[in-house]
Amino acid sequence: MKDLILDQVRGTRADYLEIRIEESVTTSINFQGPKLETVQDNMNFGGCIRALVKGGWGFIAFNRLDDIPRKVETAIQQAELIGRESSEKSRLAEVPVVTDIVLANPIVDPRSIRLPRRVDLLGAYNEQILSYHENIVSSNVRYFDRATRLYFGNSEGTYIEQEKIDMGANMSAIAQKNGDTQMCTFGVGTTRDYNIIVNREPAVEEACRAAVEMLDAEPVKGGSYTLIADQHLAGVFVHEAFGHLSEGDNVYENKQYQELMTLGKEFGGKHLNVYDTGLDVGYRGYLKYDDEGVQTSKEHLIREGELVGRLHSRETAGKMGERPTGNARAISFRHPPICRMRNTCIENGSATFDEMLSDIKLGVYARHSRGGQTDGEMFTFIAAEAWMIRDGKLAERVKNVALQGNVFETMRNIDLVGNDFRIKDSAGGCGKGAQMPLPVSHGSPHVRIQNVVIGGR
Amino acid sequence: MKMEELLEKASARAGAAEIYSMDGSTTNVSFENSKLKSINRSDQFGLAMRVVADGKLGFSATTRVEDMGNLIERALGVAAFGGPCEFSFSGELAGGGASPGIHDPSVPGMAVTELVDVGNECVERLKKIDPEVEVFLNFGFGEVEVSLAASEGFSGSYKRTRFGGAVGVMLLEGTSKLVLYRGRQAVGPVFSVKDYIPELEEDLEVARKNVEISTGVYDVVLTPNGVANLLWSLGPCVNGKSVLKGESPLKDKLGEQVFDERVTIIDDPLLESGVESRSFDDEGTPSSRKPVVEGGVLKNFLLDRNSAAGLKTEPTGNGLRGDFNIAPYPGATNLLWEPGEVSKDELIANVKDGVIVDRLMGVMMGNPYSGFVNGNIGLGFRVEDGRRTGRVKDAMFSTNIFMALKENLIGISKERDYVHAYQLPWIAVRGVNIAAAK
Repeated sequence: MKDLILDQVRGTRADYLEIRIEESVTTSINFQGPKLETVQDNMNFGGCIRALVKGGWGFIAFNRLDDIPRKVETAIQQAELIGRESSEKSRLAEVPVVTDIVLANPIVDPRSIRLPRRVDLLGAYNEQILSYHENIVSSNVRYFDRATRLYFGNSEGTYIEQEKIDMGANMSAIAQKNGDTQMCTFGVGTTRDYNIIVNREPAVEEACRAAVEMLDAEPVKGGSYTLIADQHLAGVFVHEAFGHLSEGDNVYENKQYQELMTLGKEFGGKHLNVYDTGLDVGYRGYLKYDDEGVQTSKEHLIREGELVGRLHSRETAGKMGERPTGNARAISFRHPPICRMRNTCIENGSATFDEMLSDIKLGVYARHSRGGQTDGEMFTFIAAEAWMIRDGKLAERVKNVALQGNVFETMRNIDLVGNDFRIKDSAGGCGKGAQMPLPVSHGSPHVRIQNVVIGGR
Repeated sequence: MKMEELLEKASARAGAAEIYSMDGSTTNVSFENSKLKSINRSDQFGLAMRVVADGKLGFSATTRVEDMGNLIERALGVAAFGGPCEFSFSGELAGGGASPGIHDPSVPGMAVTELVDVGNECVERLKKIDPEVEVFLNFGFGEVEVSLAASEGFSGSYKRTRFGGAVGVMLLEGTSKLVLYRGRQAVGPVFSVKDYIPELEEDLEVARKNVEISTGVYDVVLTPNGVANLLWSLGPCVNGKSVLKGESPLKDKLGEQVFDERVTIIDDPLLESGVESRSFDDEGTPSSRKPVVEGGVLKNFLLDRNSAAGLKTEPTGNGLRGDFNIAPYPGATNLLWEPGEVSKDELIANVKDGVIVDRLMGVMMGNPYSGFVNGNIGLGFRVEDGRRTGRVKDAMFSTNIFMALKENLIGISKERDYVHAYQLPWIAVRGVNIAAAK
């Protein structure tokens, strides 16, 4: 494979050329209600070529590895078509030329567990959900594991082979009473140890209890509240509210954005520190090299409230004169790499949960997330569970809690950062453009945010 | 190995087998920050097999042509531990209905340079309207051949083309970000993105001014885009799978009045030149036009073969594969919301104190079975005395679809617009909760 790739990219007339070839096998298992709905075994094989000419990118993806020289030519011609319109020079941040082979080194490789054992494990969780309570009407238990071999080479001489393992499971309990349906999910994910998915009955039970209890909860009343977010929700919050904004491709060719996101700008209080890292082994956001062959690192985005970094591809770093960070990622060979997060976290602070609660007259405690979305200025996310806070104490459960905020205001409104940091993985992923789901992780301690708008009656 | 041969081998080994293949190419041209940025081409081949062995279902897919033989082994390998299969593969003869005109021969050979010229012209015109905006465009076109064969006797194939175009502007003033875009998908180049420019100009003029809104209950006009957000909650409720699983709140409501009598929504896979038209679905069931809701009465669930068997009824031809490597699942094709009697301008003119909602964020993360649609208003306009007075932002929209389309429905417009494969009207509803920071 090495020769196949390097022979094609060497001595190219393009300013830069890269080839990525990928082979993955995915096993997935899905129970819905009492039924084992699917057991699947999918093989995905293909490659892509990306060429850069005078700042323009040409890209071609394919399944058949025949006639690579013609495909290289197509990619270059596409790039030249763009380059012809442009007076700019290609600028990629310089990175070391690397030759490396990266092995996955799993603790327990999911492929070493026989398929019927994997099916039985998920089946047992499914049975646990369905038998939890008479109001549980259905379930959705999804599991996947994927083993990937990725080959990358570029015209600068870098050649990397990577073996990756990714897996996850989401287990949802669906409860119903008097025409109301409530759903709660426990999710787990890892890149190195099948055992993380084993022995999770207590967490599954907690999801069941939440789904059933929410049937009797009142919908939250809409308005502006002081919010305490648990580690999971705060992680999704920092991902949506700030992570996406830090992606270099928003900023590098947009003057207005550059002004808005000038390094050194104040984004929050001194107690706020945010980073994104590819180095956390075992988590789904772990990544030794990104999809441009750049070694990843831990990058602080906010240090003591001040904007100090962003998430770069080689192009965005090169054009902004900043350091490349190894954040160029693609969900598969079907797509070119774009600026993406890896494991995005709010660092531990010093507040205890009780300190956060004590002076809130009326607020909301929200736990776990069903996901979030942002447009770069506003963001929204849905809490899986929530309670009212009344006079400094946790009070009744409420349901249908959707939160929204303005990135710039909300980051400043974080007034307390907890001391109970935790990283969260699930079987889901992050979406950007047409590329979804990309494995990412997020972490945070509990955080308290003032003036969060919650939808509802 | 040919498909027939593969099918024969697979059905000899398993009791029953079905093969689905797709082979196609798509090209995307995109402009970012007012300049041509990338040209991407994706050639894609995919082959999927379902087998039933000893009454158990297995699924396997591959993108490797040379992997065909292996595919049988892998499908059988997972079927050994699969769930019981209660349905049969299609034995229908190919071609359920009239050919719905899904192939435009001009698409595969489209010239990228012409799209680049259109893009450049749009950039120039929009920059002339406001030099501060950054222009974004995306064009995509391609052709795909889909083939399906089953041991029960079905065999069919078709070629479809698609052409899509979208144009948008982004304006950043202080920390306030405004994004406006319009676009469409079709079988071929039957529209031009240039035609969206006047509308973008009009919206830009109003939306660049942010206006305050306070928490309260308002009349809301949803644009076709906004209606699509609302439908996100309806889709799962009429999906055969969630009906079968007992999750859908509509599971026992077939034949009942669930919405206002003015609401009629049709799933029409036989629509001439429809983006999602096909004479048979992704598992070989013949396509048919069917009302989902007619006169407000729930008429049909959308069923694939699996959910239909579970519900002891006939499949509706709605077994769709999101991609070749995903097993068929019930889904809507071309969803047509029947137009109403009033013009959209009248709907807006009748709003004294309300909001127009075009884009909601976060809706799809909600709980669809609750009927609640909660979303951050990504693009909304304040309406005062029937006139758009500015942009509403930093506010949450919250309603329940079962009330919004029943007692709270004010009206449905006679105009419709395309949203992906859907044709949707503007609708006005009362009693929508808007939560704002102030």
